[in-house]
Amino acid sequence: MKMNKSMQLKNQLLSGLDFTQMKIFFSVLTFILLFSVKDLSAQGTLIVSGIVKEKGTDVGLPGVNITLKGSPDRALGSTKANGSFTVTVPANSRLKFSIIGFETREVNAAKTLNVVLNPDVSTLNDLVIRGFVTKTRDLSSGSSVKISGDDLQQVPVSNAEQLLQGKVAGLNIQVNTGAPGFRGSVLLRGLSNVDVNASSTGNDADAFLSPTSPLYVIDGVPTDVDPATADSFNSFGGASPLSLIPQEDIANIEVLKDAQATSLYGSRGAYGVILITTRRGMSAIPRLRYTTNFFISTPPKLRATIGGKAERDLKLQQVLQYGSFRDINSLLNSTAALVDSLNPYYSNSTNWQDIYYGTTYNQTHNIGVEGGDKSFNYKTNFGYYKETGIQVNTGVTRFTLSNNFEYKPSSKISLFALVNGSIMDRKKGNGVGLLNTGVARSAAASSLLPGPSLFLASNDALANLNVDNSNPTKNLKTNLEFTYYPIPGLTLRTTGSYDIVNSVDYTFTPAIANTQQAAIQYFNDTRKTLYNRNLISFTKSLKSGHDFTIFGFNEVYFKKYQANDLKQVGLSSDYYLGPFGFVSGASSTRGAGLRAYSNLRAVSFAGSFSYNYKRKYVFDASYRMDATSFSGVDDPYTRSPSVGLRWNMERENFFSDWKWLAYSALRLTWGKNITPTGNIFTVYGTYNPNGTYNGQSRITIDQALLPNKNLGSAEGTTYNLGYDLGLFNNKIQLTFESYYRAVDRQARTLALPNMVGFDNVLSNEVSIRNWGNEISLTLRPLPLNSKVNWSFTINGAMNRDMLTRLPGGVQQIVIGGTVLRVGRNALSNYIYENTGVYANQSNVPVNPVTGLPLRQGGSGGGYFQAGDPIFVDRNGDYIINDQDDRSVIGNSQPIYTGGFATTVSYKNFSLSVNGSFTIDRDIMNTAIAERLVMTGNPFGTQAVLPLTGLDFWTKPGDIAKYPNPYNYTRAVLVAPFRTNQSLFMEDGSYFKINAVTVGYTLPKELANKLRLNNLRIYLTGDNLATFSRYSGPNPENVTALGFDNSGGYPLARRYTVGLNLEL
Amino acid sequence: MNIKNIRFYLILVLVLTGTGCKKFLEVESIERFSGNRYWKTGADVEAFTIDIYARLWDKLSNSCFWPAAGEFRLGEIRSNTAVAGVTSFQSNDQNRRVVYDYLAKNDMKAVVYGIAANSPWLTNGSSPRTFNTILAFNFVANTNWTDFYRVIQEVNIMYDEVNKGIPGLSDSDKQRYLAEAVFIRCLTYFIMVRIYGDVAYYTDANHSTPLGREKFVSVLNKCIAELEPVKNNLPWKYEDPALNGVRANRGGAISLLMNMYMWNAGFDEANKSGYYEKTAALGNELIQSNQHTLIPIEETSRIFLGGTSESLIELKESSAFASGSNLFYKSAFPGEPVVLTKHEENGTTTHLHYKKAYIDFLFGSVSDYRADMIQNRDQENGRFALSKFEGPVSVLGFPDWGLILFRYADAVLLQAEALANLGRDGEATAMVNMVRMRANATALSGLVGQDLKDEIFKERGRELLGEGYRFFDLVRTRRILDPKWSSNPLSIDQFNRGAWTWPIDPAARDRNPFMTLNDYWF
Repeated sequence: MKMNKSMQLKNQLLSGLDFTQMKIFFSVLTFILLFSVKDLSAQGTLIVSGIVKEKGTDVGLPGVNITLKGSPDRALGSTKANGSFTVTVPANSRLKFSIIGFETREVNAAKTLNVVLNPDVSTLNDLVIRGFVTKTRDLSSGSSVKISGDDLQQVPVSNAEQLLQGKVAGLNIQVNTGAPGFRGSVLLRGLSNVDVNASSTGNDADAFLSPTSPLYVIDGVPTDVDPATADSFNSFGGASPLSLIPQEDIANIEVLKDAQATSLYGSRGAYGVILITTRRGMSAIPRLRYTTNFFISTPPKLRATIGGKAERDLKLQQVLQYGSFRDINSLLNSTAALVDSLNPYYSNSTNWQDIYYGTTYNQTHNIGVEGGDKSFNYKTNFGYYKETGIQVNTGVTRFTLSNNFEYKPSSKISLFALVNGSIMDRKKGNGVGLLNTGVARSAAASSLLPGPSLFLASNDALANLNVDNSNPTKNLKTNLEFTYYPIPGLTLRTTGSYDIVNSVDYTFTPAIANTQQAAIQYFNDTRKTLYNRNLISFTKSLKSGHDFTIFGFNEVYFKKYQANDLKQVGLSSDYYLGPFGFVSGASSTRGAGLRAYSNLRAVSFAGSFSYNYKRKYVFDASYRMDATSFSGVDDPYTRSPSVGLRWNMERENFFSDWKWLAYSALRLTWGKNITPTGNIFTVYGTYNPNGTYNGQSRITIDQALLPNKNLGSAEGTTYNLGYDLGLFNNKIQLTFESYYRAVDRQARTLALPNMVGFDNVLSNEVSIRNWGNEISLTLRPLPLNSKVNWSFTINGAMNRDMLTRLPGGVQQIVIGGTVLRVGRNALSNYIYENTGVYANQSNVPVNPVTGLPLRQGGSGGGYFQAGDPIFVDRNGDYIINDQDDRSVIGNSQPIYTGGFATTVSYKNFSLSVNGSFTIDRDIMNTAIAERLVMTGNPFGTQAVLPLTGLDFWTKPGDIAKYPNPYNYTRAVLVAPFRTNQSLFMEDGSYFKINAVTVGYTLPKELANKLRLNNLRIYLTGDNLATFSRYSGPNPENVTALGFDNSGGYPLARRYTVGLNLEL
Repeated sequence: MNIKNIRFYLILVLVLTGTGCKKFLEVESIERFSGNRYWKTGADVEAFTIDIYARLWDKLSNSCFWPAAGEFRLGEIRSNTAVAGVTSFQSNDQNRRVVYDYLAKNDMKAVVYGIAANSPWLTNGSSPRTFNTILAFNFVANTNWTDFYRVIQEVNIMYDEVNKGIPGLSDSDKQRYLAEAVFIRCLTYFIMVRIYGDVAYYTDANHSTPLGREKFVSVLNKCIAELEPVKNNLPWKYEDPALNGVRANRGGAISLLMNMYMWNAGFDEANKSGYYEKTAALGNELIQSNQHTLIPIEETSRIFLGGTSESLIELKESSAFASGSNLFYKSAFPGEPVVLTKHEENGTTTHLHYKKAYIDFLFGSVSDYRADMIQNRDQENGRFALSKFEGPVSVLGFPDWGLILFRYADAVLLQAEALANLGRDGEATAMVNMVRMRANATALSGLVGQDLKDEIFKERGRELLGEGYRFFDLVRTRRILDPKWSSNPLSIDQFNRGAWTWPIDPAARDRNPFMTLNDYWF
């Protein structure tokens, strides 16, 4: 009989002499020779051949896995490129056909088998990952959403994360910068910290909310995705490792939301966990996929500007109408730009915005090769991405090469290895990352000034154009995973990974752009992570229907980070740079030094127990302990427990008649994520050298932070109630979730009274509550055999937060324009309440004691008059001042977020549209404020913007929204257009069409004639339209604290022509 | 694969991962020390102690602290108005020297916050000015006590850690460090009490809660109760002579205790005889020890260089070690404004002079070497100088002074004062005569009662002229109320409302509901 089998294999070998089959042959041979050959000879055999097709089409499905059912199951191979297969099996056996994306089918073996597979649309059969172990969704009590990599291919982007916008209920992504290679803000289920940092510039709009990014696990390895050195917006360091993954290489992304799902990731999973899996080879036929995109980025509509003579006339008109005698008589005469119209220096109409913003043409290329079978598969992906920013002197170029392979020499051993290398070079221009103050300032220059040239224009303008910035990030990621299955049900797996990220931020500023002093700055940082995880898992199914899975693992990290910085100013020339030039004066060099350093080790132990009875009743429990070298040695562990329950109702007998009910499941979970808030330095204090005293060295305790030995851990407790429903053969699928999260004992620095001698103490007394509901609905209303396929998905999330405690029991903390007030939404605006404009002088309140009208406080403050804004005088002292008269108003965080996606396909054409929305959010419209402020100084060198369409006061009796912008004399006296007033607080709700894609797939026959397997071309428009009542430029392009900083990098609108082909 | 094998793998996994965890988590940082890794050797304690002294020194030398607190408010000084030829130092700015006149008038608001345009003090079209922009006149810094509390926190932490035990530190060293910590804490509170009055008092390590101000008599009594039992753990002298005077020693501790007793004697009427008794006993102990001497009068200027046997406790950063701008802070020394030094040829002049009437009141016309050390006592043109402060000049032209907080002559005169108050006039006279004889002045005899007390008080004026004692002496003896002793006397009401204190920076009330400021200065 053995002989017989070999003969047949030989025949097969002769019939199709191609390499793949050779490999299949050897693999199968090896497989057979090594293991499980029992009983084959005892029965008769059958040669089964046939074709596997996709339902509704006539297309053969390649790479479908064919398994012989038995105990255990045995892999037989997979289908060829045209979907055909031939296998030899024992008679009377049963075959299983499976491939990802289709429902698995089992049929009895017969000589000729034509199998049709239905596309799998049920989310119930998704494989989900919990604590590095895969299970099916119907046995998971936790909350997660899985997005296929196919849904992330529409728009070429430098960071695939932003494509998740609007796709996951509860994941609030705001693409708040258009700078290529930067990340927007990502919040999962609302705010989890209130770590607001006042800006160093003193500008409220530049204040900064420390990001609490979810934990990203890339191919099973937890990865830090934020730049290691961030100094508010001024981030040094390289691009996020997330943006180093080409979107074409992503197989799927899973977002874990509740504590049951995240607690196995411990303290780092406190803000949610996002799992990213890159593609693996799974096609028996080697496949080559090539994707290319050409895209045009266009700047959004820029603001209109009054140019040339019109600007001069307007400014002159302002001065003549409102100016004092001195302004008209003396100051005007010395302002040459206004009065010397014949001077060629001032006789221009320069379009400054045009100099800095423009349309760019870009392209991406990606080649992926994958192949292999059950015993060996591989993947190689090469990606190239180049995008020139719509703002001058910015852009990003990325090269990636990622490889992995999986080798299973036997059913007991599996080896997976991954090597990814990537380089991403950003150009940040003269900006500092998210803020581009230099460009914003220059782009707002008076049109009367001549355009940039080396002899005429300002430093700013020249710097924006001439600064040479290069910010390359280099990443090498390796990962090796070895799995051993000694007996059925038992898995032993060890994973090791080494990841090194190096980035350089190099900026050369030529002398002309820096007050005749050429300068160079060289920032260099390296982050190395060595990671090991050992996992043991055991699954046992009892005949009686009781299933158990128990697993445990431990993780070990070594993380080293070091950043060096070097800066020299006053190089001898623009041309002689290296090795960092010749510096004549010692005073002009800033020297070099260590900017940041850390050396961290971490150990974790985790265990999980899952039980289900007949897949109806599911119980999950997990426990995890984390310790790091920063947490001190006395009791370094934080402990995160979780419990979850799931009831799959449709499996109950009393529902068995309800054929229309595909599934119905109720889930309830509870879990905690405990995060250490301090480290040994905050607990025991930091001791630093402090110079010398009489030649003896001094060592001092750092008195910026008082040691706090009582510092505990932050505690996030989440309750999650979920309900999943599938109806009518999964034509309708619905998920509803409701959660409540309490974050207690969050750390916050508390300023101390000055009799304490230490400036601050890290206390953990901040408490926040979050609660919300999420809903996702997917509809596929058309019957499966319809020629038109249509799917529609919509999701929405409501999240509310409340601050319930602040350190020291205080009721509020003010940080710039933001206030933390106990008992209301965590981040409110702290601004003057504006109730209109004084129509007449008689409307201005008069202090009955002094007989004087309301006045502006502070030195130089003037009395209010008709045409000035009405600010609420909260303490009734007839003086408007900063300390007493600001109010707590608004909520900078959105309440509702969500999105929708729909795809319609007919024959070879497809159309897909997706969008996202954010509702109920207050934005400070700094942009319009600045627009109005620009008219406040006709003698300045700022541009003037047209104010048409604004309802402003011009003459007594006018009931207007805005004060009189042309009366520039009021600017100094009462600052009518101060940005921190409710006049500029607007509703930032918006609805955005993210992308519209039209695709055409070449008919199979035509493609085959071209010797292609598949060819698809598509057109995509990205960021096409934003619908909003907001009067500023873009309600999304605002800071995390809701300030529309007009200096931000605008979001481009993009049009893409793409091509997908597969050999 | 059988069960045995599974067990083997399980054990292997556990062995590979579970052991040595604590060790694994101990990582030494190369850039900074955490508190749990510090305090391992005696050298750690020493380096931290050095920092405590240095912080106190930094606070007292970063602004015009010592002379502004103890000398300028006397009422007997006036600024020099003469125009100097060359003004190469900030403090020679003639416009700013008027601040001494405001100090003399006890107009602390003007001193601290500057003079507004509508100030009645401004005459003859003078423009408004502030004094706090220049290091040498940075009086506003004196209203902020944070730096003192930084010293106190460090002391408390050091006391706590040393008390817990430091490996390798001998018991005698441990006791000495503990006593040293207590000494510096008491010294700091004493300095604060004299300028702020009531202060927040705490001795616990890592104190974090807000406290209100405690009555200063109580603060000093707590300090005394703490220092008295441990003072004998301090050595009279160190093996390394360089440490004498600059590190806590028994003489310094005794002198600090005497000063604290005498201060409280002035404010705690009911218990004052007890304070005098204690002072007398301590003075006796100090004198009997023979560890300190009055050095010859001709060498007086050597006292201010530091390290003499007359020095009880001092702070000094030698110009040999100091660098950069530290050298400019010499205005912190009481003598600086009144010593012409040897750079007269540069054209610089002294900032201020004592009124001739005051000098005459102190010395009269009798022979006294100390009177001879006053140059041009009747000139107001910048040539008035106290030659006792003359010394070797550092590279920047300043004498290489130490800040002598307490010296032996002060202790001897305090002893005399206490004895006189106890009616032991004979002993008191003997003490005063010790000082007088050193100055080649005629010995006192036959004075009793109030006359003797007044003469002792005058003697303190003569001996300690310009050194930062006089204003405090006037306050604690309440002679500041008497026009005989001060040409700018306070009324009893002013005195009771705290006119002798400094204003306190209003920032003290931030985040501290219990805090109050000195009402007089509102």
